[in-house]
Amino acid sequence: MDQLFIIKFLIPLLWAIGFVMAPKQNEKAIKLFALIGSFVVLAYSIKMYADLPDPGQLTELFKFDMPLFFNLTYTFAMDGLSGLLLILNAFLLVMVVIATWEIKTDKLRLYYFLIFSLIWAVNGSLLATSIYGFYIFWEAMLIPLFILVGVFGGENRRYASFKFFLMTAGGSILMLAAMCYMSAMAYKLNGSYDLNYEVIKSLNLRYSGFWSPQSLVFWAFSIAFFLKVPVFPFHSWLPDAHVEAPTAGSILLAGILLKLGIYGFLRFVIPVYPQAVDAYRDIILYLGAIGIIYGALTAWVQKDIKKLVAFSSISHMGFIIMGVFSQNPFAVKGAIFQMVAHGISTPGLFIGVHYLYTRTHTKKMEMYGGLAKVMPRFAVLFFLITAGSMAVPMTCGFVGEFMVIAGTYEINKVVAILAATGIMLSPIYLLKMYHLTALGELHHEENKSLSDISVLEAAPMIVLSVLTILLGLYPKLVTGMFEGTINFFTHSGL
Amino acid sequence: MENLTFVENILIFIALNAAALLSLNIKKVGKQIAYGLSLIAAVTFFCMLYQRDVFTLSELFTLDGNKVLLLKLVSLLNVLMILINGWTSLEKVRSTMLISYMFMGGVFLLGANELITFYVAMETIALVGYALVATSDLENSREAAVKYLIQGSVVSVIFLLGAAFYLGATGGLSLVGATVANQELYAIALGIFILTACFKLGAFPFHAWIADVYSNVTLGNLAVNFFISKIIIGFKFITLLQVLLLECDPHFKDILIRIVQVIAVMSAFYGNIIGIVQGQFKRIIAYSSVAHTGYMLMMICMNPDELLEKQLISYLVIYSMTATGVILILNQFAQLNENKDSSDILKSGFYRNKGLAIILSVCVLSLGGIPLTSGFAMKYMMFTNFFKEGFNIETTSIFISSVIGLAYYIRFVSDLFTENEEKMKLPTIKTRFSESLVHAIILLSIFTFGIAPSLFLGLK
Amino acid sequence: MYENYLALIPFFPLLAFLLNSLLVKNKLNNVKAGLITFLGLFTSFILVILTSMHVMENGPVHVKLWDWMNYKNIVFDIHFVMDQLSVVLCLMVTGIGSAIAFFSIGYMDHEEKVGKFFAFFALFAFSMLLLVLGENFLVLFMGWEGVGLSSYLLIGFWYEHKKNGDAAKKAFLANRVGDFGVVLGMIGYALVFNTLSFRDLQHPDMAVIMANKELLIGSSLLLVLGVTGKSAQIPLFIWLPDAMMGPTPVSALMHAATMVTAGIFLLCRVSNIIVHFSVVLDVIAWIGALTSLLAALIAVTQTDIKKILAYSTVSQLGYMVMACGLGAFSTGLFHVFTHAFFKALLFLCAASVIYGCHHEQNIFKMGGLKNKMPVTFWTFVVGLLAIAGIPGFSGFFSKDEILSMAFTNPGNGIFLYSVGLLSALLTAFYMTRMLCLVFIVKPSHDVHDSHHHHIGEDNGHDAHEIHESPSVMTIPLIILALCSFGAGYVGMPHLLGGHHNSRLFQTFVEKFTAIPTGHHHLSEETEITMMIVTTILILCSMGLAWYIYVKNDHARMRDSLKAKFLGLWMVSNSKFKVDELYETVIIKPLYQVGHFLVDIVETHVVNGVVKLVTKGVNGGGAFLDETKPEKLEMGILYIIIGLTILVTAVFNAFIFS
Repeated sequence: MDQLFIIKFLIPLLWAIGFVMAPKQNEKAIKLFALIGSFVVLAYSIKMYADLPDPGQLTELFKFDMPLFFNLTYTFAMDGLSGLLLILNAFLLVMVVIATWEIKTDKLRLYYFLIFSLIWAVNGSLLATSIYGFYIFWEAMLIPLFILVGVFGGENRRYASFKFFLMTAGGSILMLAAMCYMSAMAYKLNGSYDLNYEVIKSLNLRYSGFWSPQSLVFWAFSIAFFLKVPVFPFHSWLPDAHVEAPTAGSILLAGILLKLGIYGFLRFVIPVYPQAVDAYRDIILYLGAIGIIYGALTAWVQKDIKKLVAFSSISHMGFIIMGVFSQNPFAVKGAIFQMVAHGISTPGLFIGVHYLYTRTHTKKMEMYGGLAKVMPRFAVLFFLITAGSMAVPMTCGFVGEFMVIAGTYEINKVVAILAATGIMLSPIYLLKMYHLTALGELHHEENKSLSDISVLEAAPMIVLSVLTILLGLYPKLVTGMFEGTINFFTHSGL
Repeated sequence: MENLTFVENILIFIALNAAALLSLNIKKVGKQIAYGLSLIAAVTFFCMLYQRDVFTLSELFTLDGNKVLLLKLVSLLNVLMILINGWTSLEKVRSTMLISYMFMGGVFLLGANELITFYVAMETIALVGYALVATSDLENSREAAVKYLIQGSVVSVIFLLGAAFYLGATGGLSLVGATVANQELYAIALGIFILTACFKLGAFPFHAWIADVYSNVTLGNLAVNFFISKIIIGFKFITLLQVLLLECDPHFKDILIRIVQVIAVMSAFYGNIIGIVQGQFKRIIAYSSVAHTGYMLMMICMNPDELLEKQLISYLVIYSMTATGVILILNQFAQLNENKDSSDILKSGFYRNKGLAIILSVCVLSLGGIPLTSGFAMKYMMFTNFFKEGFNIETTSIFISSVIGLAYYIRFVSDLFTENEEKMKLPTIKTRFSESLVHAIILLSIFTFGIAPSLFLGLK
Repeated sequence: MYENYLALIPFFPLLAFLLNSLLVKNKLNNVKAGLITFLGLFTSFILVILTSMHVMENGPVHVKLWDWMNYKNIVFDIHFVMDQLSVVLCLMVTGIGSAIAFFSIGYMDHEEKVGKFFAFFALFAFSMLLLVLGENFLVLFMGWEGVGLSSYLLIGFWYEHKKNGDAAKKAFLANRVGDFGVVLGMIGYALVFNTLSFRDLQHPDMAVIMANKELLIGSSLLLVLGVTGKSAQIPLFIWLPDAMMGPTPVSALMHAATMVTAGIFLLCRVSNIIVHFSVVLDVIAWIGALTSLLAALIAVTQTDIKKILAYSTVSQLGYMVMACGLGAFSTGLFHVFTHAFFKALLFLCAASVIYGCHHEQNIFKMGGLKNKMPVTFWTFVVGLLAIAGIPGFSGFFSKDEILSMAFTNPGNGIFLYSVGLLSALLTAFYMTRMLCLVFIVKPSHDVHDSHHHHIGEDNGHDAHEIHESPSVMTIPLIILALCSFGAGYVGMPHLLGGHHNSRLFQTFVEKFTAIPTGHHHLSEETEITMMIVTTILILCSMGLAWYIYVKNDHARMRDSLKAKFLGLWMVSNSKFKVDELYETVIIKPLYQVGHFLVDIVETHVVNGVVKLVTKGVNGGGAFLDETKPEKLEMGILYIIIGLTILVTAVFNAFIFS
């Protein structure tokens, strides 16, 4: 029971409120304040992880129960997996603040307020282990991003923000229905509405075919998380959201918000509904495999660079959902590693696209071409990050995908082979993007006068490329953090 | 003897308000005097409630337990509403007077033990409601008032028919401890009571009056109309019907509960779907209240118990306060548009007046049931109860309808934050201290109840 | 002590790569950059020699750097080994690599940004060493793709021209298709044998192999797909001819000597397993044979000097794969060893010719260089004799042993032998054709006085006067010529080398790879007669080529020949239309599928559902709005309807109860 937890937990929110009081004209001070804030958040996340006695088990940090209101409780606990995502979240915050340093907007305080409150909501949902607390932060995450996309986005940002909000919130309301149903069952069972692991397990909802309670509750949770991940048929909001979102929005959305869907599966669905997971495993594996190929082929055809990166993250998430649902310890470990790897390479791509956009003010790939001659440093760093995203063996992208394919190969060969075609398809669209932007002739006149990226602008890309190579060569750095939790997420323990 | 003090207080309350009405005619200073008198009356009544736990007046009228708690809350809100009306304009002070009489009707309705007091109290509230709607100075508020009057009178006549059936069934008019001789008449009586409840609260088939009343009423009257009538009528009808349904024959009970559930689900879907296409924001709130009534009506099908009443109270009070907060701020935004509510009054509101915009978006999100706000806690609480009772299909369908509802709630937030050139040039809105006080209280209640609902439920 | 030697071998090229890539900015002049890479390669060459001496005596040397991952009992770690197999390839990579690095210091001196070239060169050497020294599949695969990546970077070195970029992209994608096979094959083996390390795969126990036979056959065939990708065999050889866009030393190093042999290296690594499946061996053999024949046929009518050498490499690779398919992995590796020397020599001669003729690559425009570039001419002749398989030169020994192995192979042996012989004759023909056109025959029109546009930068070289390349380029030529002459004697057949010093190379390699079995015995006489017959045939085809191109005016002769075999000539000249075939059969349909997915599935199905829901809800709302519920009469109507429904519900229950 860590007393300081509340203070540490509320740091991002207090920092966000701090922005409200910040002086309006002095942009430098606001940006500096944001930078310090991001480093403080990173520091305390690492400290919280370091203080964990044993990253394998869930160590309870804080418990606030409400006897009268259905004696529900807010329990906050942390283990290897949530610690890892917490650090990734804080790391992405630092990347966002540095990458969008030159942002020119008169609503700077609102911009940073929204980002810090988004980070706080993500931290909340990562740490809460009672479903009630998880749901609260899960929904609260949507508002800051909705406003961020709505205010700072591209042309038809209103349509994109509406679509994003309604699809994810609509899905999570299905989850709320399942949650209420379960707390009602819990009340019938032991008189208290509270929902944590022991209670849900003791509920052991009957599973017999589709209309039985366990499978309905399973599907309610899964659809909410599918919409968030997004898995193949539920992904129509992602390309719009990414094309219209400002860079900060895209980085956080692709870097950490998509992973929360997976985290939700790992924490609240897989350990708790074993029969349903076994029954519907094949459907979801096939959905993941289709997602990989669908994402790759549609990305290949795109004209807009941000849409291309958005569809590429659908393809990567297809790998992750496949790894998680194959229930093979190696594949699950690979899926979690791929989450981190995707959280490094896709933000790198978005930062690159941001620099291209701020210079050429267009997202159409044919307007680029031959930039390597004008911007050599950018071209080299962009190539390293694209290589990471292409899953070249010595980079982080390969580790996750290899483990997922190896793990799934034991379970379902067809799916593994379909997923392996992802290895063939991913370089097609990524190299097409790289050749259209950096290589080839420099025939656009205005591109000739473009300036190469400054040291400050290059810093996040350098950090991301170093991480790509480092994690590719020594993945134990990350897998060591969540090693113990794996057997918790594979109930059948293949 | 203790009954006397209660009667004395009511007499004092009525006397003070009568004096206030008379003092309106005094030339210059009449408004202030009238305002002061009605304020004193409201405050004394509020203090009186703390003297004892139970107030009885022969067997006609008893106030105990949760009812007293509800009355305390309502009278506190009544004082707040008087504060917000202020003593500046004559029209507002006059509506404060009417509020007091409506409050009095509410007190008697809450305590009514038999159908006569019940009917009389309900009619006083309705009449004052018609008057409030008629006196607001919008262009077709007269027309809305007349429509409201005619429909209200039709329903009150039908209520009397129900009372007659009730008399036939139980041989007496008292609502407490009546023995049912003839089950069929009793079932029809209950059916009619349900019908009146649906009309008064604005459920689907009987919601015709709501849209007009909401969009054509100025701020003071509407807020009151919301508070007194909605909270007290809602609480009284639901608890009464729960009790009466106990004695009903199981076969009829199933039919009645089936009717209630159908009405509830239909009004949930109706309110949410039609709300999306509405141009004006106040009409959106009107149809969202139809939907929220649908959520609330399901409570009738539960068996009465202590904690359930407390949850109902907290739902009613929180919902009314949030909705009133939204309406108050909408009116302030509408003032810049010659008091006409149109679909773009909120455009780029955030950049003109940050405080109002934040409060409006928080209230709207609470109505939508987004976490960290009290609306979510209410939604969670109610739907868990429904699942406990086993109404799985109805509750999931209501959940799905609330998804549709999200669409128009988010429209508020999106409008507030979109930049729009000519709207930017409009002057920022000045809010009086009392208004911002009320806003602050609403905001506080939303967040505290949202984060830690047990504090509210722990009130005595 | 040998362990850290082994660890240092790949370290030096990596160090050269880092130095070059970090210093590229401050305009490091070309010679310094070249020297860094050359020294890096040369030191690791010396280390390789030391460790291989040690390995010769007392067996493989292991070093484990760090643990990568683990799962159940499969250990994934970064682990290097120098065993008999990798000794051979390490010598080739570092030896020939440093020679070519030395050569390209001269060749690339007038290019700008040469630091980048030498950085990628060192990166290639590093990944090749990773591939060769890898003790388990993981490290091999890291090297495998690293080599693919650095070949992408080197082919696309002059990225300003779109076709260079496209050629690089094509090479990488073709390799990636192969990698798909390698990954799945690797996983298949890992799951069956519960290990990835080649030491365990060297002695697999038969029970496990028999138990899951079809999985192993599947995985081996997938590995063969990977081999065809990397070593440019039938289905995936399209990328090698286009890879000639890169600088010529790159083609010499990667696309002749080292990189393309990775496929055969992989086959040797898993030889002890695939040797048990005759199906897989036959597939490999036939792929090899057909590739060598097809490539030889195409090479006959090519005009670009580097394209001819590229197709000749593809056909020689076909030989090596055929050897592996016959079960004679060591013979295949011996051919790899000899081929590396004479093919690198031929490429470097071509480079020096191109360098001399200011980047002219069409052999019909060159001519009469015999006396102008003597060293290049004589070294080219040595390479020609070696590749044609003239006795005494290295090519003869390795190619002859492959043909004899094919001849004695049970079952389909005779067909493979005939195909192999035919492609050997074609090789001799097109190599002599190239020799005559480039060196001996006077060019039809005098090329020297007509100014023509260069492909690369104009190097200020006096367009008129052609002279021998500088000594920095000719010394490696001479060294390679000596090697390509002498390399053969390491693996002489029993017939010539007597008992104790025959087949030294093969027996050394067979300590690791599987020993060919089931070949019926070949008597001494038949072997000698076979040798004599093949040599005579080869000399005839060389004479035929000499007759066509030198004896009489080759232009008129060529037209008459073309007229007679027009169909065959057209097919061969247009590279059997393989690229267009792939374009129409695979790439175009895949792109249409992509468009279909975006235009139809994305807009109508995935977004369509969302649009449908919103339209439905709005429509419902609008419909309900029209009914104008707020009108007074509607309100009262609803109340009355409500009342009637209520009463009927209660009454009919009451009536029928």
